[in-house]
Amino acid sequence: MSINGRKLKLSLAAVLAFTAFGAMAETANLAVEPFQETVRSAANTGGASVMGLQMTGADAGQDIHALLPTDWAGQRFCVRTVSSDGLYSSENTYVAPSVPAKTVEVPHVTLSSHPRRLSQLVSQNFGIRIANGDCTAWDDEKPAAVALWQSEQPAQMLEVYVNGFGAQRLITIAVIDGERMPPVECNLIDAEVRVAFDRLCQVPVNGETGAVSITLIPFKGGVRGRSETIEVLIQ
Amino acid sequence: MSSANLGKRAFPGRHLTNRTGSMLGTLGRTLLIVSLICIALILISPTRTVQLEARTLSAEATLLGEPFGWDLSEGAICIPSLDLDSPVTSPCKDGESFAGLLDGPVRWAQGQQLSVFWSEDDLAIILRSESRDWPAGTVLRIPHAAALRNGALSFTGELSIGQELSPGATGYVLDGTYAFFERGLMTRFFDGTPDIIRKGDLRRGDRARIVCIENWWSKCSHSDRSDEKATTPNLAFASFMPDHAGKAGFHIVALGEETHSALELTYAGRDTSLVIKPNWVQRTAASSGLLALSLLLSVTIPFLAALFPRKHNDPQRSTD
Repeated sequence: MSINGRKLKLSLAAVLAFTAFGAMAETANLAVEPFQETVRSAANTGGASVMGLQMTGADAGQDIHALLPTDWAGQRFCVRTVSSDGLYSSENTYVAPSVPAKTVEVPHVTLSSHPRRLSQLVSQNFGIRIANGDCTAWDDEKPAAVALWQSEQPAQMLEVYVNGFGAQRLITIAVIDGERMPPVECNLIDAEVRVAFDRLCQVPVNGETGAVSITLIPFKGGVRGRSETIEVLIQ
Repeated sequence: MSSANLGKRAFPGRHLTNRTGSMLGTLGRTLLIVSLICIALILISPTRTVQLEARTLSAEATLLGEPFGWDLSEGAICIPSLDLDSPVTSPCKDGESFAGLLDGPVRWAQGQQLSVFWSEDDLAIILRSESRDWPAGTVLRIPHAAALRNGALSFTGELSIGQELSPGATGYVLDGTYAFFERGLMTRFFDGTPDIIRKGDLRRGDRARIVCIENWWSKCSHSDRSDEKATTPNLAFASFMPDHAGKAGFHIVALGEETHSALELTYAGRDTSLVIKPNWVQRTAASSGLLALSLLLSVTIPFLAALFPRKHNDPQRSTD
């Protein structure tokens, strides 16, 4: 083999190794053992208003991935999940990788005792919320990070899964980088049973990053209800 | 006097010959088989139907017949608006823009999905799918007085009554009743009227649907078997009517298509719904055909028994 040929092979191997390393997402570690999840035969019909903050996926992947802000590196964060029928829920604290990464793999299905059940849930049936800090210190007011379900690459649409509490109509107004976006109508999710959440609000973010403010305005019987605003950190 | 002689005197000449005994046995067996066949024909009912009557604050319907005209005169057309800063134009409400008043019947296309909500102000018909004239989400607001004048809103299609009682629900069932009607094979043969096999009450918060359970002898008329669900919505002939006494809610009367029907009640939080259908005990208890057969047999059997001499097993008597 000529020297040029050997060089070419070495270069190719180096490129392949680099590509493979670059494609591997950083993985968060479970901070508090054991893994906490609950499967009920009858759902808890209460709950909060926003039950999932996710991004549509641009590819097919496994498990949960999180778009964590860079300053969360090495910090603890809480992941809450709930199925739309309210029968499955989990709440676990993880430690983010010390090296900031675009997407962080959050082992959930791999730790769960119900992997088959979870793998059957599509995005509209599975709400994921991520907040900084331990789950014991959860606060709905704190800015939340965005999750990806069964995907590793985010697309351009932010998905907010909401429990409308019987609202006949729900409208979302997003403020991205100080600019008020046009109102968006939230639609009923595609599910037989809608207990934990019933509406999906799709907010186009078009690659914007940073803090996004989302205001939810419910309408019941043609009367505007009390609006609720949440802060989302998009990485 | 011996007891054998006494017996002879009491039943003179009533000794059973072998031939008569054989006839009696054959007749008994034939009667038993005929009775069992009659019972089976009376109790076997391949199809049934469900009748519902309810007062509710909301209902959902998918119209599957065409054409359907609903008289919605004096109703206001309210188009959903995302301009939340614009002033509200009565009788439309917040988040809606007024697009005129209806002055006659509205004709719905097949497959139109509608929700009907009662409120103190009006009867609101919400389009869950796009119609010929209006976008999805349009609300047709009919004042209660106009709804009374316009009359019943009838349709053929899928029907779901009330909302599950989840937090914040406002469209739940207030009260109602249901009844299962069946006609056994025997009744069908004689073109008889159906029996009410099972009846009961709808309670506040029940979300009720008439469903079809498909099996090998009874197919559901418009089921989509691709999703392998246990039940599919059954076609119903239904009407929405305002309450004449001014009570809260509106009335629904619905009769399911005759098939292997059941009533499905769902509750928020439960992973499975409650499927109500009559069982063979209720069918037996309620069957007028079975009652008639019982009466017939109770009269016939003593009469037939009297025609034949009673068999005596006493060897002394039979040898005399």
